[in-house]
Amino acid sequence: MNCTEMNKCCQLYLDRELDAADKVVVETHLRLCSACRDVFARERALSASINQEVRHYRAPLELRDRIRRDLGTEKRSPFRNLRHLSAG
Amino acid sequence: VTIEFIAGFSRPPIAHQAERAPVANQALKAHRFEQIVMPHLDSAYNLARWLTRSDADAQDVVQEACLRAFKYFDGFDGQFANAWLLKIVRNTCYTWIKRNRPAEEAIALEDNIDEVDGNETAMHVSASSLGRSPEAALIEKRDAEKLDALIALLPASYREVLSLREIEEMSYRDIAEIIEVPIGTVMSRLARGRQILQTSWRGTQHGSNER
Repeated sequence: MNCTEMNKCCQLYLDRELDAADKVVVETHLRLCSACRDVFARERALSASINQEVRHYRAPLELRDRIRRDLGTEKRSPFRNLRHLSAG
Repeated sequence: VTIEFIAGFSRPPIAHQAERAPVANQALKAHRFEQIVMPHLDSAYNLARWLTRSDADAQDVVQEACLRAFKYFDGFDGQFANAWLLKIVRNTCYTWIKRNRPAEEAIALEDNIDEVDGNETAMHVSASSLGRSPEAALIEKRDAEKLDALIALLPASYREVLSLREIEEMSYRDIAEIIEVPIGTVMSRLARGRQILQTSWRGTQHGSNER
């Protein structure tokens, strides 16, 4: 494997898209080539930052409620009817 | 008399059964939807949130997408529900952007986005659509917030692959299926998106050091 090929494989390696045999080829090249090791380290740091630091948004409760209301699967409170009666 | 009563009670007339069947089917369908699709609502909202860059808009998009998904749920085999739902959410997002933000759509769906040189131009247009310059938006922010802001400035084509890969940890094959492009295009968009991020990230670091 030369450095140009390594450059392409770096992303595949980090994204866990390589099979076991190709992973060994990449790891061997990294052990021998300091320039590719630097590129790899930068790519890995960025990937880790995005994965760990970038916001993982979670669906707000009100959105779940809105969808369940649309689908008719909302979970009704056992006190719903009592509230209705007292309001009336 | 008792036997007739029980038989009559447990077996309502045929016509009555036929009236109740659609209601029962609908309830069963809603129950299956709740079990199979609703567990993926966080992923759906996350993708919509990154694509629309707004909580209220993402909620509207996901609600509309779920109604669409429910409509097509009868024809769905129940396999890979996450990818199935995300594909619907993505399509709903782009329809929504086309309808509500036509200027942004021109950048988001640029056909030759994979060959565009120096997407800094696209980033600046995206930034101006947010009503601020990239530089102004990034001053004094913590690293995580800076990274969030930099990703938000990327064109949607890069934002979606990065979000699906880095946050949802999906395989190239699944991403290709969701955004309906070849695997090679997923790879080149990820590479380009990361390259732009690296460059702009270094830019913000140098900016901080100079201050």
